[in-house]
Amino acid sequence: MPAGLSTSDFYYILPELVLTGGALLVLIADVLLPRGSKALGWITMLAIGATLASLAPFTSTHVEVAHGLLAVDRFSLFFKIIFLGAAAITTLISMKYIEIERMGAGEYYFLILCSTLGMMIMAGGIDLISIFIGLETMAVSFYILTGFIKPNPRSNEAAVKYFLLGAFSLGILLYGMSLMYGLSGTTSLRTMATAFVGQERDPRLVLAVILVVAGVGFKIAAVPFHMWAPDVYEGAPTPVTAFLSVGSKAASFAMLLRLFLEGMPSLNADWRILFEVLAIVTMTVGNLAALTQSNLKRMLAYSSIAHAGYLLIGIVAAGAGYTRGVTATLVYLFIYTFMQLGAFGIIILMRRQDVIGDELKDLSGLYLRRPVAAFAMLLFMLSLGGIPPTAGFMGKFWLFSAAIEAGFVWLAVIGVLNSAISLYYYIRVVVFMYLKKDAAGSEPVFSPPLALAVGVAVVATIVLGVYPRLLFDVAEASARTLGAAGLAATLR
Amino acid sequence: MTGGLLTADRRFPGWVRYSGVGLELAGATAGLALLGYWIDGKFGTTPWGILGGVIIGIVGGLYNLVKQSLEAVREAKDDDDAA
Repeated sequence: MPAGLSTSDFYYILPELVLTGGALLVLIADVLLPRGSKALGWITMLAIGATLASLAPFTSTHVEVAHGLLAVDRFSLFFKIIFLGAAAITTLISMKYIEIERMGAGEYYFLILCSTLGMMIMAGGIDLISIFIGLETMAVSFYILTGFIKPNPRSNEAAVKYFLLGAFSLGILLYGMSLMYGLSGTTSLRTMATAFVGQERDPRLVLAVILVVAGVGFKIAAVPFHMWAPDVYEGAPTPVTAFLSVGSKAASFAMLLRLFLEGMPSLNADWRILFEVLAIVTMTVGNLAALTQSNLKRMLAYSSIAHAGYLLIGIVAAGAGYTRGVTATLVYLFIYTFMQLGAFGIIILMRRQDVIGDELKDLSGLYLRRPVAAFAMLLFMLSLGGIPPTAGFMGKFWLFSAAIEAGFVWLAVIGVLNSAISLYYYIRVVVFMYLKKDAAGSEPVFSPPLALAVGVAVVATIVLGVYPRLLFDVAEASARTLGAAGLAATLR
Repeated sequence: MTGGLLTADRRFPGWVRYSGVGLELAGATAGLALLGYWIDGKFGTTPWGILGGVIIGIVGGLYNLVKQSLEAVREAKDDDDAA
């Protein structure tokens, strides 16, 4: 095998290169522009836009590049769009927040772009090494972003917790990966898959599966690996929390799907059961814990944990051989990105000079002051709760029907019951906004970028709830490129 | 429903009480929808039976949920004042 990259490799990783260039441009611009310049955020948006545009030539590509380290296919394309969309909305909602908290804008945007780059590599990685590189790039960027408000002890505490627990869980994941390598003799997921056929009863392989599930479980904040999430979500700067809860989660699910469906498809009897248990426990603990939270960021953290549980239902269906499970997971991740970012956008709206704004009581009387914001939050809460005709309902509907189709009726029933339980804490937010009249502090004001971000989230939540077919078809086409079908296609 | 779990009954932790509220909303809606469906079958009043059931279920469940939320707020304020 000839060493080094070829010219065609550089062509296929064009989006990653554009994003890297954009990130470096932001750093340079930070030095050259006057301090506190608002242009940095828009340069970041430009970088993200250019990266999205550079994805255009690859909509029907299906190749392996860099000697089988990365795959450029519809599956990675779908996720890259999610990551870039999330990064764009995060940038928009960060602009005002950075000013109020007096954060260093240049480094902040640079790290946002770096973590997005890591996510893109994670989605495209079909080799243990490249997945790990992507994971680390994303994780380290997030460790720093979490502790970005240096004078704030909660931010520091959150960063240290995230870093320590992240490092330990990464070690566990790596140990599992090393076992996978040792037992197959290769780090390439697709080659590994054929090597593992017939080895299902090997206890070392079962150990590898357990370790990888544990490592991945931490990244998606599944119970019992969720302990870091509420503290990190609460302590981190709110836009970072928002990006963490959607981008990192989506990237971790992309990694999960690659690792298990491409790397260990023949072991699905083992990992499917683990994910089944994880799904049930995660949904339930996440929802029950959220019921008593008075801090909005903590509530959304536990809600995020519960949503990881719902997503795992899709993984279980996928593990039973139903592509519908993968499709439903992809669809829900897309929908979840918008409704979660929208909800965090409203929390950022509440952050003014005199009010921190992340407690439930800070939303009191929002209907009287900013009826549009209250309506947007109402929409996001209904969508997160899974109430028709929002996008969240369609997403959950598909996840549960995939489970039923795969024969996991009880899993779907538990999912529905959990959705019912979650209604309380979502609608409680609505009650505060509409029925309580004691609004305190100065007027919350929509800055134009924030209004744009929340507006996009609102439109997405409504449109995908009323007309979800397009998204579903795109997701299905992406899901089909994963796994054995994907392998067969590249051998053409 | 003046006693038992669904009032500010401090014998039960918050998550036990509040988990019931959402389930009540969903259960009431589903149960009354089913009743409406049965009525439709018996008296041929489609779709008013189901529609009526769903609406009554949602309204009733939401009323209970709102009442619980406001009580929870008052409870939290009492805790704050006492502390």
